Amino acid sequence: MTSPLEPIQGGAQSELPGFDHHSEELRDRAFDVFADLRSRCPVGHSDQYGGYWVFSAYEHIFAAALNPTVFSSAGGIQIPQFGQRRPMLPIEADPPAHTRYRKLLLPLFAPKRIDALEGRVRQMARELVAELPVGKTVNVSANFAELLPTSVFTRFLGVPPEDGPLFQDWVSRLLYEAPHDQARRRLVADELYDYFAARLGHPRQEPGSVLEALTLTGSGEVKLTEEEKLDLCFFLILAGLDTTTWGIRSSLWYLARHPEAREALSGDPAGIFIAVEEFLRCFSPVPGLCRTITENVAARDQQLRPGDRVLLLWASANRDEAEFDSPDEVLLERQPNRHFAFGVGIHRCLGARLGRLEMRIAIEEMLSRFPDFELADSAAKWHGIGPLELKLGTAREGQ
Amino acid sequence: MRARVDSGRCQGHTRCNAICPEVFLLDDLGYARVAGGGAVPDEYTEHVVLAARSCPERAISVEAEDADG
Repeated sequence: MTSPLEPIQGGAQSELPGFDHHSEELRDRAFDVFADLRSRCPVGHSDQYGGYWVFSAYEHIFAAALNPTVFSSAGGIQIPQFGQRRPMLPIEADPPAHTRYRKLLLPLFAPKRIDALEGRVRQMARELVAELPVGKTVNVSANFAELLPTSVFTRFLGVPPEDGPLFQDWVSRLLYEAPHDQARRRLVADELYDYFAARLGHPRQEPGSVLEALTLTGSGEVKLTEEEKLDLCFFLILAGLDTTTWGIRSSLWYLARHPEAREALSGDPAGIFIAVEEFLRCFSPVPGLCRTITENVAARDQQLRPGDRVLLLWASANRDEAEFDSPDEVLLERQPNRHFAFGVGIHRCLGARLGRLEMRIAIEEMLSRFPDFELADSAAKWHGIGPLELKLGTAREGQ
Repeated sequence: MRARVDSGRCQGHTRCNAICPEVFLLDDLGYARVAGGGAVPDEYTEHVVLAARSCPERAISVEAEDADG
């Protein structure tokens, strides 16, 4: 098998002047732009943010993600960086440090542990859905899609559930309010670090929580500094809240526009289980993450050099016609579906099983109570972020 | 048919186990291994092929058994 990272002959276009994956222009036409990148310029170079490469094809992204030695994460995975003073762990570490952090965290995300949360997640989802106003228009994002992951994840971490709104505010300010304003982002990051420093200092932690596990690590085989513990907390919050909200919101946006899909999935947990993968593929909650090159490597006919930064566009890989038939169609029964919504390689999302569980149950409970709902503004385009105004129909009897 | 999980590639996505839990078992951390030394009972061959094609890491290989068994 030849590696897609070997040079090939020919002079494909590589310059992408002005390309900015955060730009407003890209928001409504991201998938058209990604398709164009894949066909004309799968290994492109933007002059923004000090210059960065953009990988948009499934095969290049796969090869890069499977080669963490050359495509390092220790230089940061965001373009531009959030501005925090410390690396996000474990995702901004390379082996062997990365291996150490994963060893500590993996048991906390073990399948049996996550599966045991199902009853509690369902109860939370059911309570939230029961609060939605029958026959009215409501922002289902603020009243459901944001609240469920926040409730689940604050308990999982072991922080007071009533601090949920604080986290939502921090995450939204970090991710969306000021992507170009490093100073403001640094302030938000500092607030989060201060919060967790205070929490970790508590003499008693919630039994079975992430914070408890972190406070106990001094005695185990994996030892962490206080700073590393805070780095893990900071990243877990960023990774666990908005991503799941994005997934739930996107699924509900699609279902609001497709009565036949609501009918097909209603009362069909196995169908929803498979459909969740398709929602993840089509509406990838993490559109892209970055790597830093550590040694000379060629991709297509481009020469990448040590220190170069590369954006791996998971969202584009997930629409690549070379991997998926009819990539822009949402096919609820699509199988196989080896998408990269949770990344691929050693940095595969630790919380994938929890995120999937929350998406599945959110959809089950929503369809169980509301067989019918539609977009309040039928022309509303899909956005992974922001409000989702839905006009809810009648509630199902007995729910 | 025989199935094999390359443990050096498996990253614990658990897709194979979701598709064919009879053949793909998970360890405590979510990494996959094949049941019964990898021999696939006939009734699961379709699911095993689907599981292999569903692995984002391409960590699963399947091969037809020799005529000699």
